[in-house]
Amino acid sequence: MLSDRFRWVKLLLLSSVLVALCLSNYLTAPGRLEADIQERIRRPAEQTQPLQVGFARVLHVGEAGAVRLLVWGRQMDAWHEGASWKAGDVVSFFGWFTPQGRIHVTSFTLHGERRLKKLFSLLAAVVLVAALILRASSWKTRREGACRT
Amino acid sequence: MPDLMTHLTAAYLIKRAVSPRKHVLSFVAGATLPDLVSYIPLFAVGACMSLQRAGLVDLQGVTHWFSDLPYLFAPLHGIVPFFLLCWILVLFFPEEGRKGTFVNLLLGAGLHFLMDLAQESHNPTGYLLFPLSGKSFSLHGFGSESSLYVAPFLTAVAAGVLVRDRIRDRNARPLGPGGEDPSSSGGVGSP
Repeated sequence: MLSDRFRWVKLLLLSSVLVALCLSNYLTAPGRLEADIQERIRRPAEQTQPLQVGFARVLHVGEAGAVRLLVWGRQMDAWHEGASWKAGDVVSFFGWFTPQGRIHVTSFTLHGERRLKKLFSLLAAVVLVAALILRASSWKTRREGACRT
Repeated sequence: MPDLMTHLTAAYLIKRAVSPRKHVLSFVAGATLPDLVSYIPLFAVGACMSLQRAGLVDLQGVTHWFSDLPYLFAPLHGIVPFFLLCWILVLFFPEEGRKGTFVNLLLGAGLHFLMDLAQESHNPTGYLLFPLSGKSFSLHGFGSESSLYVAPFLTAVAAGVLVRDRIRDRNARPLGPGGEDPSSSGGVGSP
């Protein structure tokens, strides 16, 4: 598969398949994605501009999902049906700007201690496993060296 | 996607811990290439559009196909197209090291896709299983921006490992006949 035999033929064939895949996406994706957005996140007709925010702080929680957010250093009014946010929470979200300048949040992630702990635990587990593998391999090498001598 | 620095440093540390010094570069390349090849065109086109809005460049007449250009590269963030790309890339390498490079590029990419999968995604569409599916997949392991919290920590650890390796390499280098380091004087020896 990776030998030099028919190298240029393989290159030509693989490149053709890859270019065909990429071109098919180039030609179809813009329309398809727009339809997906309309359908999946139920964009209301009056809401125009999409917005994705990495970090926003919840300043105040009002009635019926209304919140005041600190986004890029500016205070903005937003709402999200069914969100159980508390003042002080840090969130990342996707939403839409209304012509009135409010934000309709359609999906969000709450940044909390719990999620960070999960991430750090995951990292610690990976490092631990890697360290164990390294220790085992160095122990094996040392034992092989001792056997040889 | 976790940020590029998290991908890079996590790949470096894991590879360095599991198999010291062998194919580190191809593993790290495999872990960063999916983002590089699919997102650089997006940023480049975004930058050009900003310049156009500022009136610094004129893209009249090419705007439509030009603004859609990122869609041409976006599929490279999927398993099948990236596999093909790796296969194409390794065909430019000498035959003897090709297999190791290919396997490590794929393993690095596997780590990349796993890290992406573990992260929460706000995007309803994704390219992971392109062309079979256009859905976005997520295991909801951590928040969409949470990797930014660990990136500085991982970078510091990776930099520490890199520096330690360099120091060890220098100490382990064989000395010349007079006890001097041959590399410091071009291998000839100091007068």
